[in-house]
Amino acid sequence: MENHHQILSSVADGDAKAFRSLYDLYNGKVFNTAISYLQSEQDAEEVTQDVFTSIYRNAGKFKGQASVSTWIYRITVNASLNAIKKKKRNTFLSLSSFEYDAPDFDHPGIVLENKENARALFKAINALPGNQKTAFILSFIEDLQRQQVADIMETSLKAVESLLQRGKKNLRNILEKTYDDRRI
Amino acid sequence: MKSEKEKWVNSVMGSLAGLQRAKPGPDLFAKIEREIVGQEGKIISMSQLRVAAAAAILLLAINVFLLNRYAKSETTSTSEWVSEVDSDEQLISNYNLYE
Repeated sequence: MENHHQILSSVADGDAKAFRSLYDLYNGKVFNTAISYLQSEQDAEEVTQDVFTSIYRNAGKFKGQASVSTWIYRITVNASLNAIKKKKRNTFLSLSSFEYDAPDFDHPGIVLENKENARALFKAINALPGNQKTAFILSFIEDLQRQQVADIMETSLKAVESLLQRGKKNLRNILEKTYDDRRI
Repeated sequence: MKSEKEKWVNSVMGSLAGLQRAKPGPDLFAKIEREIVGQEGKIISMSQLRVAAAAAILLLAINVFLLNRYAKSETTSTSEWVSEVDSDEQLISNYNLYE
């Protein structure tokens, strides 16, 4: 991880090779997190682009209080939430019939036999409240340790565990309702 | 015994098993580089900023100087006008028959 600090400090000095190395190390993490929020490959690429330009511009402001990974995840979560807000606002302004619901999203990394079930799960994740969604995505899709999730969300470990517990309960409720609706 | 609904919910909840991380398209890095280069082009350098500031200060100084000069000339013409008025009053008073 010390190495990542060095890379970031070289990025702050305008080193293009270091920026490429940082991109190679983190593009998957950033894109995978963004796609879990936005449930669209195109939108996730836009967020990934925003995140890396922001990293390039602000590399010099990194104080080293958190790990580079935590810092980048935090930027990604904020950029994804902002992109969702912007999308909802644009939808409201355009008064179109389109709702930001992202139905039938297929995550590109899902095992083929789980595709249909995962589609239902992503739809349910989309309906979770913001903090529960973030805790769930970082813990179960990005597979991060709970302490890192707490660091990214700038909250306590206990709060993350509580968010995950409530998030799972909410997901089950949403899925049960989906099951009932499908049978009508 | 688990109901069909519970089984389905459990299988959906477990559908992230074996999930692979999604990756962006291969040309995304080139796009990011282009955006950064484009943004740097829009950034004003310190030397440009200094020249712009100096030009603004010079313009302001010229304006202050000209305003000052205009105000001075106004004062002079006003005092001339006042003395003219005085002499007119004297002239009028000279025609006052009932004095």
